Amino acid sequence: MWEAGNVALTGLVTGGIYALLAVGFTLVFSVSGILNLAQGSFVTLGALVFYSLVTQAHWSLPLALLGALGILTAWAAVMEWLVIRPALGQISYTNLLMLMGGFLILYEGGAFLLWGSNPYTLPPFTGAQPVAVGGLKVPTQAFWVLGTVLVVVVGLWYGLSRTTFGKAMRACSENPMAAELMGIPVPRMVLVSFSLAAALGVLAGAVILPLTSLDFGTMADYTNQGLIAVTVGGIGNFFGSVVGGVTLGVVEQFLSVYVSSLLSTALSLVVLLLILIFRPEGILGTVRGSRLDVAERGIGRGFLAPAIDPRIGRGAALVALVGLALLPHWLQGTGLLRAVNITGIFCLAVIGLDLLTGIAGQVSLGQAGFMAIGGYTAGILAVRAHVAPWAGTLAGVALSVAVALLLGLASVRVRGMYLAISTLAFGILVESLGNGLSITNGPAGLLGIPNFSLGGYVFASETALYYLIWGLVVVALFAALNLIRSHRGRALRAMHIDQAGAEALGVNTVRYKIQAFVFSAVLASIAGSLYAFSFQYLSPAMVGSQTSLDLMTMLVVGGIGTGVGPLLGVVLLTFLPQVSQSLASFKLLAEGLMLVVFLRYLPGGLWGTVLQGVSAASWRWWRASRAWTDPTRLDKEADA
Amino acid sequence: MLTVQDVWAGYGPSTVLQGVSLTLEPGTVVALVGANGAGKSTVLKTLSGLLRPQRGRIAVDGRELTGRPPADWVRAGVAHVPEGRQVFANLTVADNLLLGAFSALARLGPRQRQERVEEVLAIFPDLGPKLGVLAGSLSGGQQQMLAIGRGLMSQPRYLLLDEPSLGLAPQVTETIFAVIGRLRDRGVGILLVEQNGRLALAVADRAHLLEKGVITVSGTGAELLANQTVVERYLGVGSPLDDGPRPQALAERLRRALGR
Repeated sequence: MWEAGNVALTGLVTGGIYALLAVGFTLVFSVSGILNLAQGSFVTLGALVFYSLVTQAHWSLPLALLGALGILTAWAAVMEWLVIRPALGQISYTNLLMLMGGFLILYEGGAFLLWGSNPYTLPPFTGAQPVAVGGLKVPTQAFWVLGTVLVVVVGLWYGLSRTTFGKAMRACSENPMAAELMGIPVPRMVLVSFSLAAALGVLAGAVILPLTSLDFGTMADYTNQGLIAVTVGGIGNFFGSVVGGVTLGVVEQFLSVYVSSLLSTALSLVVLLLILIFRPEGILGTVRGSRLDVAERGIGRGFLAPAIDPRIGRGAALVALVGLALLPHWLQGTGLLRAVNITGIFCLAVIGLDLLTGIAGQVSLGQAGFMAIGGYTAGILAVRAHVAPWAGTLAGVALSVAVALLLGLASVRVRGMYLAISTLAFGILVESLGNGLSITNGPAGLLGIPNFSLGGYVFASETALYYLIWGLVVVALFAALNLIRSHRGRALRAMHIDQAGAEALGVNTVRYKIQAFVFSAVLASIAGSLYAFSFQYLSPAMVGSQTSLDLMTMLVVGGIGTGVGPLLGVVLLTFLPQVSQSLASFKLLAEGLMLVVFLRYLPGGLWGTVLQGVSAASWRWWRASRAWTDPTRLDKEADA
Repeated sequence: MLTVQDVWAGYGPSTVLQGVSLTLEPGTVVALVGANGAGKSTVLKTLSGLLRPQRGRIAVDGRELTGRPPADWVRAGVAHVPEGRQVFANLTVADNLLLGAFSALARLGPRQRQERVEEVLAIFPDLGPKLGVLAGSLSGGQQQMLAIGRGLMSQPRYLLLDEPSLGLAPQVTETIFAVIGRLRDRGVGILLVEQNGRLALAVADRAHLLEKGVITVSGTGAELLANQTVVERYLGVGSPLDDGPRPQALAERLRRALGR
């Protein structure tokens, strides 16, 4: 009996933190329409800054709290002013979402560099002895957490619903143009919402620190939990967020104590997916005249990569093919071939993601989930049932197709932000199943996976694997490029830009969405199987939600929607860290930074930027050579 | 007086307005007519601070406001009621009205706020029973009344109306034009952009024809209605007399509603 009481108390405390997170999401969303994926970072960052101020600068607790609040709210405001505000209306909603993901990675990388990977904790603010309340032993820190949550929630509720300032904030999200016309300073309101959300995170992090231990890796966890909470409660709904957060905390705690701690996340994610698909406005949300997931905000300017002359393209492709064929020969003895092979595996997954997200416009933050399905299916079948690797790979593909059909169906019902949350949840669900099930051997990973083999031939050497993997990459790339340029590719792009418009023209968006999901899942699944066979080992972290974000970063850095470009991103972000260990510690920071910089300033990615540069230079050269012979001709052409 | 002097404005690298000049005096109705894409809405956007002109000067009662954010324009007494009503659909009618006076609210006590709401309700009595209702659930006509009422909450001396009759039933259009007449009589200067050029010209003291970002014809409303070019290019071929009896009757009722 008392045990249940203690479980409920722990759940309430965790739930309070989730509630603060969820309210942070709701705050930023209801003012700016942005889903701030970096929200969880501020809990961990707040806790870490607070920790350093207390232990290293020897500030008193209240002073350190004020210091952490000051530093991080100011930081959030600067980032809003410097990066997010100029990006609003300039980049598409899809890219904006990924930009926020970029901030999450950036903060993870920054915290890793500044604080390392050690977990930190603090002693309770007051009295180490738990207080007995009616037979329950309550840690004193729990009072601090619950008190803070209560004060913040009541204060914010009053501020948002009872004051004109709060109403003006809501007006900004309803209709920014009309809000401006009322004299509401919309950009300032957005900035305030980001800072307030950061402050909520800092408060949560500071009060929870004595009850837990935090390291840079907890940022994504907090973001995920906050997302689940806010989606359950209804994003943009203040009370829904609070209730969603508390419910999630309590339910998760009971599940982990009485069912399985490893599966508690999986169970809450299944609930989340069901809610997303069947009740996207949340359990407490009210259905309003306009569904949020239909409103496509800030389409922004698109990027059109300059076309390459087909003769040059074919020539370059030929050179690349010959180069690829000879590469193992050149790399003999350098030991780099392994890194090249891993790069190829990620290329497969990214080619699929580019078609799905870059071309068809369906944001997937769970691509690595399909790698996990492919890898674990093939690995488990090979280890536990001695199924041939090729058959296991095909079984993985079959399972991935089945799951992709389900996710594809979900994408018919939900769009934009809700789809992104769904795919994110799917990725985490697969990861938590990998951790929680015994058949996968949990977090320790699946050992003893054999080499890939085909009809008696074992791909044991790196060179043999190289030709297998890169052969598949070439085939997949060729298929994807053909698809992009076909009639079907045009339909996919039309759907990306304007779904209703594409439907009006007779594009069967349901079918095309599902096809894009399946194509992308098949490639990811094959990549996952090869990943498992080439390492002869697979752990949930190798194909977890972080890997999904990595894949997204590679896509953006290489050039989203350009077909060939994303491969550059894979090379940059997979090959380099594999080769140089000293670079690896900067990987997260660099990834986040690149994601932010490319999304904001170079939407064409490396590939698009280089192509633009080359085509501009050749145009200038062409102009100069023409102008030399006939200066008036250019003007005539310009007129025509 | 609202003075626009040689304003050039556009979006990004494109220039829409190429040297527009006009004035709006208190207690007059000025109509701006022209084809789609001529730049009528762009003029209004530069006059409320939504769009920063590339060149030129705009002054309100002698104070130059070119390039200032919209909040400053609201404070200076300019209210812009945008095309398509743009009410805050998920806020109540009362909240919509109160937000209309946002820039003034800090200086207003609760009593004064209440007074302003009542003033607007006196103009649009239909909104009275709807104060607690979400604005999104109002009919198109009621939303247009709310949009204008929200603009009036800041007690503007200059009101910019973008397509107030768009998609409304003739009776509602009549109500709204009657309100325009009452506001003019109280000394509010009204800049009226209308897709229904005939209606706008019928009620305007002065009117301008905007073509490709340039004002090509100016005069009284009646003069423009009699101008062969204007009629042929923008009001449909033929003279106003060729209209069927119903539009004419409506124009007549509107003129009466405006008291002339």
